[in-house]
Amino acid sequence: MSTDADTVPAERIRLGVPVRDWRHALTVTGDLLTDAGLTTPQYTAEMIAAVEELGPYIVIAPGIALAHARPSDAVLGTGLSLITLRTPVAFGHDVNDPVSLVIGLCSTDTSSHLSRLRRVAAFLAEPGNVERVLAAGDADAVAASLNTDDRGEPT
Amino acid sequence: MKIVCVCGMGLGSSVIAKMTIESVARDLDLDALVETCDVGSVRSVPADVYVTTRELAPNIPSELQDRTIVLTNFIAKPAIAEALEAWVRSAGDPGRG
Repeated sequence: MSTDADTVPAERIRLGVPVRDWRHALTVTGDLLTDAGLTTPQYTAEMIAAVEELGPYIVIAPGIALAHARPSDAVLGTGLSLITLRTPVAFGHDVNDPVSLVIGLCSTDTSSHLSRLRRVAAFLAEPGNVERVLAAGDADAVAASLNTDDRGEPT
Repeated sequence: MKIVCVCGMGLGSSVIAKMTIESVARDLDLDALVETCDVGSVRSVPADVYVTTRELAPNIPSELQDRTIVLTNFIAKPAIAEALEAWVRSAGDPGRG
């Protein structure tokens, strides 16, 4: 059972998802937020539009994309989703493609997502963690490692 | 020194950049204040150095280009530490304490 304090609850994690292309990857990521009541489907369209408008700047590290759009009426709550892709897809980034891990982020303002995002960033920066998530077959295990990564170090 | 992370929306990649850079600045013992802004607001946010992505770098005003660091990886501390240290060395930063 997840709580609001969980970084990413298991029900918003999908592993080894087959996707056709980057738009499909963002749609799966966005649908997890919508199904959880955190966004309307419009938010998914906004996440896709952001990449179409600004380019694949959301691919923030090799293989990792952080899908998001601005706070708006399409956002009903704050939270994260996470998917890993069965086969990596290109987002058009000339250095960090292809993408295997997509994190979805929605926030009702510019700060309520920060502590969760901080934990995700710290988790991904730790050597070996990205590989472990990509190889994982169990969403509960991934959620548990994301939610207990605090080591008491300032982040 | 003041570092501003520039992102498309001001709440996603710039936040990750800010968190990583703050951690790197602590490791390097740099006296740095790190903020975020979206690409449309850059001119109204003065800084010693701007950090952004390759996609957004052309949108940084030309007068600020010489103090813009372009990163491709916002999570890996070693690459960011290297870029920050190189900039500090070339800028003769007074912020190192």
